[in-house]
Amino acid sequence: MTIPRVMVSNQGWLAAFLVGALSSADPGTVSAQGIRGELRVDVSAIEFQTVVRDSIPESEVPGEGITRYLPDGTIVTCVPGGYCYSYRSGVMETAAPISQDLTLTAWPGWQGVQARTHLRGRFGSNDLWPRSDQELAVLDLSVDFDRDRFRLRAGRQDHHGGLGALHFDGGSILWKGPSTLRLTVFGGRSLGRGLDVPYNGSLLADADKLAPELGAMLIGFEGRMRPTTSLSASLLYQREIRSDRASRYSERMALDAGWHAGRSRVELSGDFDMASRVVNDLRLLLGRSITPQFDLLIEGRHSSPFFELWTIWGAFTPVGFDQARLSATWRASSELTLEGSAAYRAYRETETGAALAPIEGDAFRGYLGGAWRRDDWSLAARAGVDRGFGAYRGQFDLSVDRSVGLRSSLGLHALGTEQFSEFRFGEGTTHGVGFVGRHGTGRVDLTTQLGRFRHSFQNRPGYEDYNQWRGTLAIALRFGDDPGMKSSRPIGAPRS
Amino acid sequence: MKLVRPIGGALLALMVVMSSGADPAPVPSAFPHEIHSTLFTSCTPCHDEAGSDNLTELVRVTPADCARCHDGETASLVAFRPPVQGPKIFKFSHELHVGREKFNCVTCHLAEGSEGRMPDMVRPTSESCRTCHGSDSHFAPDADCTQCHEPLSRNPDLTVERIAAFPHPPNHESAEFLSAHGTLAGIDLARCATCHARETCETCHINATQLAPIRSLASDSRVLAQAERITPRWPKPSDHDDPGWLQHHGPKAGRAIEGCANCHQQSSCATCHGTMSLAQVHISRLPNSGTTRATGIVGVAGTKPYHPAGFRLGHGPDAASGRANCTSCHQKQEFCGGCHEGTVSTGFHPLGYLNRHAADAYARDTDCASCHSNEVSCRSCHENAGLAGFDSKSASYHDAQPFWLLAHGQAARQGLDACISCHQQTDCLQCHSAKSGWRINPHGNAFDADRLSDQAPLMCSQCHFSDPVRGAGRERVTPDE
Repeated sequence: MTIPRVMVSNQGWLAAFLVGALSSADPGTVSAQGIRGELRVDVSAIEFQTVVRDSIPESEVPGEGITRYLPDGTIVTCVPGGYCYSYRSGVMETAAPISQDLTLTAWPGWQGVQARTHLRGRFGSNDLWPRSDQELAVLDLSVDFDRDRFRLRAGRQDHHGGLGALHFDGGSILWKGPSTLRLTVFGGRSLGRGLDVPYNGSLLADADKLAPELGAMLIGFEGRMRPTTSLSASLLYQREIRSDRASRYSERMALDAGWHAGRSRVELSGDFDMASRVVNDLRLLLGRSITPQFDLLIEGRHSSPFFELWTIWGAFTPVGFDQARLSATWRASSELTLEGSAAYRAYRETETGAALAPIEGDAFRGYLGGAWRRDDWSLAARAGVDRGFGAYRGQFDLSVDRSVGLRSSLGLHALGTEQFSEFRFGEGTTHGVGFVGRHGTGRVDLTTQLGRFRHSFQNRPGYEDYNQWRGTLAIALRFGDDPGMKSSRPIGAPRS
Repeated sequence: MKLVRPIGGALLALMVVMSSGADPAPVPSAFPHEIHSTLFTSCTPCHDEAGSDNLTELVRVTPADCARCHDGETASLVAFRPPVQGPKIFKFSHELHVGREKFNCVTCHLAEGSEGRMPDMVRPTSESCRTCHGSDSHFAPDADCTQCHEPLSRNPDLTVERIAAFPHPPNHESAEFLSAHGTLAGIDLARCATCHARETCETCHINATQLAPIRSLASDSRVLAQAERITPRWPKPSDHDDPGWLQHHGPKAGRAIEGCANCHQQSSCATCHGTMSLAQVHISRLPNSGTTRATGIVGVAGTKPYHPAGFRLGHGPDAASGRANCTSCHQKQEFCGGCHEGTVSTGFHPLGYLNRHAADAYARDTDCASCHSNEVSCRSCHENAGLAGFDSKSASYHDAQPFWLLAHGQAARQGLDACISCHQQTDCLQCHSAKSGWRINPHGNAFDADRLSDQAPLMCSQCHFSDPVRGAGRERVTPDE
């Protein structure tokens, strides 16, 4: 099944999309069967300061070498015999990305048959915000045939498991075995991770000169079992093969298991790159409620990034890190909860012999926080620090939220962040305050955020401090019901 | 003598006495019977005018009766004030006690210490009743209120103030009573009805209209003042303290949600389940808010007490292994896609996250690439922010590392996924290619050339003219070549 990603050239498509969505929201036309849906519109407006590149002839810049300084301290990167380049603050611009999601699930009235679609339209901010050029994407378009012992699904769909969400055009068969055993086999044309479009689509082609020329076929299976209420496990395998079968794009496996009994829990999860024989992620978590008020959690983890084989990144032999984390939660009272976490990670030997320019080989991160709730009020505070390879960050968050009835909440949040990169001069601090509001009736949900931030730079001449507004507004309209979900039969009333 | 039924546990109803207080002292009769002992031979001339001799038609003496003798001539005038008759609250039959059981008046009315043919009389108290009707005390747990008292609703003369002042049986304050009173009410609801009406129960029971025992109680708004003294309490059942209760309460709630309805209404569940949950088929059987005056246990809107702190980032193993039955609350396809398909704005990340995401990306707390393609999403934004150069030679990011070219190898191997957020493959191939440029070998010691050559020969061809492992003629050669 091939569902092309449709690029639209004007906003008329989007208007049609909205009109179509709303008109299809009338459940009365299929009330005998059932239809449920949601129309969600997210509108954002983000002010930001652009950067512009400046260049001056290398001969006019004092000093030697690739990296030099102008008299005002500005760092420039020089090309011998050419120009020296630097960046400075540009004008303020506003990006206004808008996304519209329409999700429909319909039951046509035939036992076990369900159809579903998820469409997304994006527009509003060409070139300023990722993937907000005008496009209409089909994220899901599938049909289920569900019986007691099996379920068949065909169309554009995704499989959520230990490897995250796998998107593909094709089919899947779920066998509902004895007890809690569930086996799923799936396959079809693969859609790229984080893209929801084929590998050989224009998105990757625009972003990378060595983007795949051909798409990939996906095959996989998953088994899940929950032999007792305290023990569960799953195993997922998936392979992506270039459509001409000349190469693999990926071959991965995930193992997830959990054991929860009383106040103790053990979780084990692992992602393995079978093609490269690399353990991408392996976690062992031990948790225990020492007392009814005090929880302790210890986690050991190894992490190494995963790269698809259509890229060359795996050939650079990336190394991973090993991390230990300790977290504790103390419910001091029914109203007050305190928590803290600390993690240390150390990177494995890179064998690069960079003695002249060593960089951090380990990192620490931790935070302390607390939350207080009484009646409709909740206060939360958290402060944390990340220090180590790549980036340093110190931050705090404060929030005051109040529920207004059962359907609404208002919040005032404040935050501060200081961060700098190991590889870059200058620090940046951001302080902000924001309003968060929610109102939901079940059928209509409204969420809004509005924040004002102050960005300051230190040791970066050419970068000017600036204020920024960021705001988002999301409206979700839900309509229809699952078949049989309209029941409001009170306890004791006879079944109809 | 009929004894009260032995009922273990707490006594539900208040035993009501004629005046407030637990067990008042006997009230002496206003009439000096002893002075008149030589005049009247028995009780009946005054109190049984009909002469039935069994007091089935009790007559209360009035001042007019006194004036028949105390007329100022035969005898001096007197000012007799008969006792004021309060609302009838006892269920007492003189016919039964005197006519059938042949009790004498003095059996119940004789004042303590009085004697003679016409001794002083008192109004009997509940103590008098218990002489035969065998409870240890007025509020004994096994006391049968209904033996002496009519239901409250049949005492229309009782005032709101009087009802509000009903004494509290001590056992009503015990912790056990709260959990046991439902069972006891089911055994003998009539005892409750002595002091209570439907409105009393509605103070706490949000499902009052759905419970047959409460529905069978008469409605009587006079108890509202009494109910105001009750502080609604919904004690947490012991199984709710189980650390896994929130995760495992579903099956129990599905089997017998009637039990939940004592404390919870639909909005209690909506706090976590939302209103589109698959559990809604059960939740919809809970009462709606506003059905009664009771509020029940209501979660705070906007909080998600089901999931522990950090669950949003760490839910993977629970969800993947199937331990958490996500679909009992979430419509899987829609809900998971809300984050995993990267809704643009008000989704996964909190306010202001863009300014602080770098450290998280390096720490790989979450797999960013599962929602955001490094190549597509990260690069375009980093270019706009001036982090990624418009071309590789003008990049400004690594200006803090004067020997960056020497250091970048370690950085790349430790955080190659971060490099990709700015750099294309061709940036690296300028040096790391066997086809052109500096021809610097990027492979580490752990590089498995054999395997990758088998798995992805096209990857090798990006840098090598021929198969670097087997050569053009499929002969094994040194990988470095």
